[in-house]
Order: sequence, then structure tokens, then C-alpha cells
Amino acid sequence: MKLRTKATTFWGSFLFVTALSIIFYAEYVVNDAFKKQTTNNLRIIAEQSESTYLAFLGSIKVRALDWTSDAKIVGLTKTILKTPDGSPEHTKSTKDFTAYLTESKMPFDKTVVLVDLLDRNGIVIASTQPTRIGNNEKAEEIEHKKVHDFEATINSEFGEVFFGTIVINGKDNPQPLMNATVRLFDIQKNGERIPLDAVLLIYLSNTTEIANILGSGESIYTGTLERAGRLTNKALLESYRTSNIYLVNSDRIMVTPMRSMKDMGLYEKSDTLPVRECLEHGREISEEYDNHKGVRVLGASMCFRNEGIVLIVEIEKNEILAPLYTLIRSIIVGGLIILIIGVLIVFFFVRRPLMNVNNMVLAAKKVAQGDLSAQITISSKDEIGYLATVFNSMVTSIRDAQKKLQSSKQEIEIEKANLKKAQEIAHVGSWVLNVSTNQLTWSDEVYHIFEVRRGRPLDYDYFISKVHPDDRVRVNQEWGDALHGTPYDIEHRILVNNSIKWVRERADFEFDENHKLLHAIGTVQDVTKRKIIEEDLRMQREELARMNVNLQKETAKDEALLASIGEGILATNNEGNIMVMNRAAEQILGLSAVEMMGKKATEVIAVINEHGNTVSHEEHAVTVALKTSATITTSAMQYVNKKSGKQTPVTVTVNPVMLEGKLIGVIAIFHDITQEKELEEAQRDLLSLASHQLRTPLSGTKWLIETLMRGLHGPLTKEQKEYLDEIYKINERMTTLVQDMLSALRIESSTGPFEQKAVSIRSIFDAVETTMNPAAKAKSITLHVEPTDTEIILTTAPELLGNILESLVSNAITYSPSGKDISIDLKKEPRMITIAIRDSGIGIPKKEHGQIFKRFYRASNAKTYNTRGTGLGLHIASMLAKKIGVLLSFDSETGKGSTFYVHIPYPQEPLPEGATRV
Amino acid sequence: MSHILVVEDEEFLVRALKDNLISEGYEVAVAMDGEAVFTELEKRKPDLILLDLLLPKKNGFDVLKEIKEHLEWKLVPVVILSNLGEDSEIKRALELGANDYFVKSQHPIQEVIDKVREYIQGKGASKAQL
Repeated sequence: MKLRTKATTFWGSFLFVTALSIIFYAEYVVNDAFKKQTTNNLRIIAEQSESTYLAFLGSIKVRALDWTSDAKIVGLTKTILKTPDGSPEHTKSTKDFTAYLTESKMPFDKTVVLVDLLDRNGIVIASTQPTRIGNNEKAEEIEHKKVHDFEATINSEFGEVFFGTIVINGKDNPQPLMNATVRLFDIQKNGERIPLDAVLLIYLSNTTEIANILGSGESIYTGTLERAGRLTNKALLESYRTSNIYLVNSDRIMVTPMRSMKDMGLYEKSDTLPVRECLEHGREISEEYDNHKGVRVLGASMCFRNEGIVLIVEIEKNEILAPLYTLIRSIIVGGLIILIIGVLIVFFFVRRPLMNVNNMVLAAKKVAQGDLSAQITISSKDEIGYLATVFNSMVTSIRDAQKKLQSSKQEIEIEKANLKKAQEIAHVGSWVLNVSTNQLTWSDEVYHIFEVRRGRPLDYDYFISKVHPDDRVRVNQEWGDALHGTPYDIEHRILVNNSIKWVRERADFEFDENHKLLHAIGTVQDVTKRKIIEEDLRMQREELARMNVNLQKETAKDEALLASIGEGILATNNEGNIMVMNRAAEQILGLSAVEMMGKKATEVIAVINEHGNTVSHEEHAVTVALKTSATITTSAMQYVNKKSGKQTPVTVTVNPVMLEGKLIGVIAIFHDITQEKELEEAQRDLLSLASHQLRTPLSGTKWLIETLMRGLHGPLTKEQKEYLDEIYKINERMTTLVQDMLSALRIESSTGPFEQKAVSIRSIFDAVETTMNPAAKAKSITLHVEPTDTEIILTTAPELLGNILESLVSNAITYSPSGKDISIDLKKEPRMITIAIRDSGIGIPKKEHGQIFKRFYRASNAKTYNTRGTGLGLHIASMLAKKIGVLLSFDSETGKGSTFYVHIPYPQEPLPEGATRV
Repeated sequence: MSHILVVEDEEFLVRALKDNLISEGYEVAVAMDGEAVFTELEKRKPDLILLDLLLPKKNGFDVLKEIKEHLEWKLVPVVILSNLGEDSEIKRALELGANDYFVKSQHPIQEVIDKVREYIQGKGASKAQL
């Protein structure tokens, strides 16, 4: 509810309730007081009026008694009673009675309008109106109750006067009449009163008078009393516009005039509350009721039950309460005016502050909904303006604070995520145990380690239930000790889904100022892997110890072996420092193994190459092997003996020693080849000399024949020419034979490796093609050399490979008929490349397939086909193939041709720079 | 007329070479051993030397080395004519400065004559003829 509505409602309700309270007060309290006051007043008036009325009746009584004591009346009565009806005396007395009363008595009292004399039976025996004689009043009395009281009167004592009610008499001019009855007594001289059986019935027309004395009629004392300043009933009543005082008879008819209509007898029926109360119950009232006109009045009554008269004083309630009603009206009108003014005040004067308050409420709502950009623009300098300023700065503060909070929250979130990640990575979880509540809280990683569903209620007992049964006692013991200050750092097993994990637990404790334990904070680390590794390690250590013992045995053996080996053996670590050196090595190098231990091999072993130059550290086989992890073999080196300076030619093989793919050193094995070298040299010299000596005569013969055939010494005859040709051919054959034999010898006797280099197959093919084309063309043979996929690089001795191919192609040409083409193909296979030289020549007989690589062997069909072969071509080719590590094979069928294959290992392991392959 | 020095200890080879060279119109001097070479060189500086390697008194390698170390003679082209056919021997000769190398038994004499012509005409550029 808006404040304005609230204010308006409050004001309205306040005024309304106030007005209601006043009205209620007026209606119930004042009203009551007014009524009470008025009815009391009316009762007083009624009481006073009763007295007045009784006094008035007293005066009538006096007069009646006066008459009953009138001797003439008594005398006449006696006579009338004594004398019989119709007797002259009786008649005369009757007439006298009438006359006496009308002439002597009634004139003194104008209100007496009729006097009857009744006998014992209530029969009118004399009257001022003689016509009435004979009327039975007793019967009348029975017929009209309270019309008079003859029955009481006839038996009454002296001095008693009975009044009847006031009745309306007369048809044309009805008027109210009161009567009084009194018994007649004959008073003796001695004062004795002798009752007579006669009653005097006196009618009085005195209601106007009654009214006057009661105050509703003409004031007989007007003027004098008022002047004297006395407050009378009349004056009091007259101060009310609607006041009345009147009498009602037993017929319930108003018998005195109303105050408002003083001269008029209304004689209206008045069956009102006081009338009923009086006539039926003899009660007098003073309260509120409806009068004969149905108007609400306040009234009081006096009851003359015997006389059948009710005296009523009443005032219309409206008049009594008129001031009260005016007051209430004023209050209502005033209240309404105040209400309207209040609303207007609220509307006009409170509106602006309320609007400001509204703005603030709106801003506050926005803030409440999270919009912290809300600002209030109120410039008023009152409290609301101040409040707005404070609100704005408050919102700004909140906004700043929230920003900080937000960023702090983000940081915390990041920290939290990092911590979680870190715990995951490290397999370390954290926990907090609230000792007083036994409530255990785990981080995500702990749940992960224990493989427990997140959110499960945790406590120390649950934790213990997860500990391996064999470790529980220990964990409990340690935990108990920890609670008494022993550091808690324990490794134990836990049971997780029927498998065992190892965890390391550490904890720290926090105490309050009274040294009471608050909670424990700790970490759990999954150390299962480490435990496994430790176990492995332990087993490995044992294994290692066993192996070590074996190794020592082996080492002893090895050392003995090493010492006994004739070849020099030297081992270095991966930095080239000498670790092992045997006796043979000591002798060749002139070094002491003990002295050399740990020294750089390249520094202590002096090496001289084939050209007599000292090999540098970089070119040293040990260095190269360490650098390339390749086996290095060379026989072109000489080791210098440090003691004697003697140079020893050696073959050296340096093997890298790999352990789990890592180079840990090299082992160099070297062999003194002095003798071999000398032998080789001698052989070479011999070969060289032999070839020279054999060739010289052949070349001499050749050149001399050529010179002759050129005709430098005169022209030759046809026969001479033919002879010279034959001799020349023989000489050439001899030359070829010598050439082949020397080649075969040279190859067979050569010991050292051939120099290898990287060449493309293409270049080798090109060279072979160039060399062999002339011979092929001479026989109209085309060489089809494989053109595709020949960009293969081989590391080989190109001349030797070329020699092999040339030899095979040469054979193909030699043993093919003219015009039969030869193809040279290349095929790449998984572990090798194969070169195939295919001809359609004479082929090789099947049974001779096993012989053809033998020295000087020639196939049977070859001998007849070509007589000039030496039987060394394929032998040399096969020896060369062996030298460079390739294989030769062939398919052949007599008459269909042969295919020779050269199988070269491929791909080859790359050869380190500067190294040669074995 | 171009002057060619033939260093050869075998009479029949000297004869074959001399006959052919003269027929081609060259002037030919002959040294039969390693020392005679220098005598001939002193006499007249040749336009080309045909040198055998196995010689009496001083072997061809030493002769070659000496010639190639001589200020004046080192510019004279030297073609080796030998029956030593080992690779090492050929390599060694070429390293010492020989311009060409013929293994005599494997080449017709005509090829030698042609090679001589190439050198004399200033075209000699090829290397060893094995």
C-alpha cells in the first residue's frame, strides 16, 4: 500500500473513528444523561402535579363535606327518604332539594353542574335536574366501571368523599365531567353522626381548571409569579415547545386539553404505555414511549387508580435531544470537512515528499532486484533530500562493494577450481573434522580417492570403516596420540571397492583460547603408485644385489679373458675417457692401463693416417663413433707406441655401446696387422711387377703389329696382313687373359675395404650404358635401360658396382645373337633393390648352373659360341659382389636367354660422414 | 717442328713410338733411363714428354716429380705410358702432375699418337686413359 494511501486512510480512519466516538458518546452517554435528566424532571413535575391535583381534589372534598353537613340538605334528604314516593311531602321535598341546591348552593361553585341524591339502592331520588329522578346509578356504575364509587360511598364513614373518573358527557357538546360521591349523615346535638342511606352525587365540570392548575391551561397566576422569579411547572413546561400535561380517564380518553390547544377538548383515545401501566397494573412510569400520536416522547405518569385517572407529563424526545442531534450533525459535518481538508493536505502538501519517497521506493526496489545503477535525483534540502543523498552514496558503496565482492568471488572461484585441479593432479585431498560434532568434511579429491559418492554423511567412524582392518588399530592409536600433540603423519591402507589403496594422511589441529580442540584439518594423498614403485624398487634392489654378485664373477672372468686376448681392447665412457684397457692394448700403445684410466682416449692414443699425418681429435675413430653411434672400422691407421715411438699398423673397430638406446661409451678393438700389411704390400708389388712384366711384351707386340699394319715400313701383302691380324688377335686375347687374371688376383688378395660414396643409380646406369653401347651397337643390339624410378641414392663403391654391371652386360652382348635386345631393369623390393640384366641369348645349360661363377669355368655352349672368353668374367663379378656386399643370382634356359640379378640391400642405414662401411 | 721426348727403356716400344711419331712429323728424342731424361731435357726443352714409370736408374715417379718441381720444365705436358695398371699407381702419377696416363697394353698406338696430337695442338685436356 502506498504511503499516500496509507496517510489518507490513516487520517480518514482517525477522523472517522473520532467522529464515531463522539457520536457514540453523544448518542449513548449524553443521550442517556439527557433522557435521564428529562425524565427525572418530568417525574418531579408529575409528582408536583399529583400534589396539586390531590389538593384540588381536597378542595372539592371540603365542599362536598360542607354540603353533607348542610342541615337543610340533610333535612330534605331525611324527609325524602322517609316519605313515600309520590307523597306530597316527598314531592315537595324533592322540589325543595332541587331549588335549594340550584339557587343556594350551586351558584357558589360554577364548576358544579349537577347534583343527584341517591337512595340506598342507587336510585336517583332527587336531582338538580329532576328528569334524572329514577335513574339507577348503581346499575350505571356496574355498567361503567369507575364512573363513580357508589358502592363504597353508601357504606362509608363520615368525612369520606369518593371521586369517580372523569367521563365525557353530552352528545352535541361533549364535555368532561368529574363526580364526587359522599354519604349523608344526620348529626345529633351530642355530635353523634347517624348515617343516612343516601348519597350525594356531585358532577363537576372542572377539567379546564384542572388543566390550569396542572399547568397546561391558562395561567391564573401569570405575571405575579414570573415577576417574582419563581420557576413553576408551567414555566418549566412552557420552555419546551412540545411539552404537555394531561389526564386520561379509565376509558383511556384524554380528558384535559392539550397545552398546545388550550381551549379545545380533544377527548382522543390515548392507549399509551403510562395509561396501560396505570390502569392495568397501577404503576407509575417515567421513561420513553410513543404517545397517542405515535410520536416518541419522554414522559412521566402519576396513577390515581381508584379514581381511574392517569396524569401524564411528556415532551417529545426530538425536542429534548435536539441539541444533541445538532451536536452530532455538527460533528459529522465538521468531521467531513476535516476529512476533506486532511485529504487535501495529504494530497497537496505531502504529495511532493511522498513522490520523493515513491522515487526512493522505486530506486530501492531496483536495488533490491539487483539493479545497482539506480540513483535518486532529489534536490530538496529536507530530510528526504538528505536521505536520497545517503541512499545514492549507499548504493554507490554497495555497487563498489559488490564489484569487489564479485571480483573476490571470481578470484575465490578460480582459486577453488585451481585448488581442486591441483588436488586432482597431486592426488591430494583435504578434510576437516569438527571434533565437537564429529562432522567430517571431505574435498572432492578425497571422495575420489575413497571412491565414495559425494554428499554421503561422514564422520570419523565412517572413515575408520574404510581403513584396512589390519591398519585400523594403528590409525586409531596414531589419531589418539595426535589429539595429545604428537604430529599426525601416517601412511596406511584403505579398502576401496575390494581393492587396496595406500594413502598418506597428515593433520593439523586448531584449539581455542582454553586449549580445547576445535577441529582438525588434514590432507589425504593417494600414494598407491609410490608404494608400488617402492615395492618394485625394493625387489629390484634385491635383484640388483644378486646380479651384482654375478656381475663380479663375470667381471673376474672377463678380466681374465680380456688379459688373455691377443687383440688390443680399450673401452671408454660416453665422454671418451678410458675405462678399460687390456694387456695387448698396453703393449701396442706403450701405455700403462693404470695410468691411463679416466684419461681421454684421443689424447693418449697417437694415430697416424695412411699419409703419415697425425689424426686430429675430431677425426679419431673413437670421437667419430661417439659422435655418430656407428661402428667404425678402419685398417688405414697406425698407432704410435708412446714408449718406443714405434708405429704399428692396425685394423681398428670401434663399436658404440648402447644401453637402453643411450650411448654409454665405445669399445675399440685393434689388431696389429704389421705382418698382414707387409704381406699385402709384397703381394701388391709382385702383382704390379708381374702385370707390368707380362704386359710389356704384349704391348710391344701390339704396337709393333699396329705400326706395321699402318704401313710405315712399306705396304703389306694380303697374306701378310691376314697373318698380322691373327697374331694381333692372339696378342689381344693374351692381354685380356692377363688383365682378367690380374684383376681376379688383385681382388682376391686385397684385404682392405673399398671406398664407398653416395651415388645415384641413375649415374651408374648412365656410365654402364655409355661404356657398353659401342659393343652393343656393333652387334645391332639395343640396350633398354630402365628409365623410371631410378633416383635412388646408394652408398657403395660405384666403380666396382659399375664393373659388375658392365661385366654382366658384356656377357649378355657376347652371348646374344645380333639384333637381340638387352634390357636393364630395376625393381624396388622391401629390403633391397634388384637390378635385372635380361638377354635372349644362348642361355646356360641347367646342369651347369652351379658352376658358372667358378674361376676359369666356361659353359659348354659358351665355349663353342665364343672362343675368346677367359672364364674369369663372372668369377670376378661374383668376387666384386662379395666385396661390396651385393648378391648375384640368375635365371637361365638354354636357347631362350639368361637374366642376371644384382641384389643390393636397400634402404641402407645412412653412413656417418668420414666413416667407412665394413 | 714440335719436339717430343720419349722416355722408355724397352727397345721395341721406343722403336714403335719413334716410327709412328716421326711419321707424324715430330722431332723425337729418346731417353732410355731415368737419368738420361734430364740430359735430354737440358739439351732441348720438349713440347711433350711420354714417360714410362719403370725405368733403370731413376724410376718414373721420381722423374715426374723432379720435372714438375722444375721451374721451366713443369709446364711441359707429361703423358705417362706404362704397363703399371694399379689404381694406386695411376692416382699417384696424376697427383704428381702427370697430364695423362695410358696403360700401354690396353690402347692401340694410334690412340697415343692422337693424344700427342691433341697436346701439341694445345687441346690436350683429358686425363688418364686406362
